[in-house]
Amino acid sequence: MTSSTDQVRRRARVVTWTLVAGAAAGATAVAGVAAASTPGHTDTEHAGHSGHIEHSEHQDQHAVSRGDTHESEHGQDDSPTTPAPVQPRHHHRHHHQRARLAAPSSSQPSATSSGS
Amino acid sequence: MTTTVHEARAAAQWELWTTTVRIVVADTAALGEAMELLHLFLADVEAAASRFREDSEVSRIARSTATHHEVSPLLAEMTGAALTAAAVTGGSVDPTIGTVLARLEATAPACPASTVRKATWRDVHLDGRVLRLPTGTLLDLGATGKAFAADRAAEQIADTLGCGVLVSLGGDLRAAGPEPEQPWTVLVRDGAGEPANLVDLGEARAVATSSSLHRSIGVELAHHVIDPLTVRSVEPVWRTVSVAAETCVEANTWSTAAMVYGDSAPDLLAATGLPVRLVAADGSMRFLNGWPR
Repeated sequence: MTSSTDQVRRRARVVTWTLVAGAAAGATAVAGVAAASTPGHTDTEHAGHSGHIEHSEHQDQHAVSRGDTHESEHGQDDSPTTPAPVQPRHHHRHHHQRARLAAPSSSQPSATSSGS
Repeated sequence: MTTTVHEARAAAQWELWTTTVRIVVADTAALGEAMELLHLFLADVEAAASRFREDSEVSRIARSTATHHEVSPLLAEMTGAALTAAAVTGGSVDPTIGTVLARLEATAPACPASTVRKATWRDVHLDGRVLRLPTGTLLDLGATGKAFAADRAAEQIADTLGCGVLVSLGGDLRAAGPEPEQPWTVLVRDGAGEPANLVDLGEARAVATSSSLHRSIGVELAHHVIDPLTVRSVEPVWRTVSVAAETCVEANTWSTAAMVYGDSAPDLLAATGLPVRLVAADGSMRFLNGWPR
């Protein structure tokens, strides 16, 4: 059995790679989330869109994290060792800033963002 | 329910889903109609996706012996958003956790003998409106569901009424429509006594906050953010994580994932390019990607 710390580390590598793979595909995985909730997409368009992302991510993640799914499904770790280090096809992480916020122009907020 | 009018803006808020719904409109005359539209839409969301209602679509699917289901357009979209969130976060935000949550809630404060999962998001497939998943799977769209509802409600109301709208569902908030003369200012604070931060929504139209401070389930589950891999509450590395994005689904996806990532969250979220505010367990704060201090 691997420890939960190992599990988290392994997943962290998978997620890092997922981000890179999304960027390399030309349409980032993050953009996929935004598209999924964009109005104007028909239901068919939407489902097809997310299905495409799901499919590609599914294949990609299996390529680098064998055993991850089975571990959560069956409560045991059937991967023999920690998977090989992730080898992204393109070492090109997107660090550009997106969706900028601004300093407050008022001391009277319209709403509060809090955990629920 | 309370309503207020202030500086050419009108707002109303009420309790729903054990949290607070708030709507603010830039046209004070539009508040009544905006509230009506929001009530109707949220009723549709509840009928489709509430795992607390026996007659909802997700509950009926969980009881069914079938593996293929033709679902409503709304549930198809919500499920699609949840599956995308699962894909981009490597399964750290997983809608199939619903079955486990229901079991934990039913036995709280004791812990059930087993919390082994029978399905993950990879076992759920959506083709148009046809949903395929293992029998007995109860989808929990709570992580992205509220965010999706905030996105879609704000967009629809703004389109219908032609004015700027801000919708907040339990702190997941989304602005839509024409930019008001006075920008939308948002207070980010996870309750009284917690660190506070005022920001204006600029290019970001949404902010979502995930927290480890609320909704205790039981002894084993200190709070409601569950790691899909360990099926336990996540280590409370962060009290609160807030993310700004163009949509609330995107913001909520990463704020929820950050709670699961723990110590790795700053590095992983920095790569998204989205503004992030993290409040550590000791109350110290970190800001990423230009979140205003």
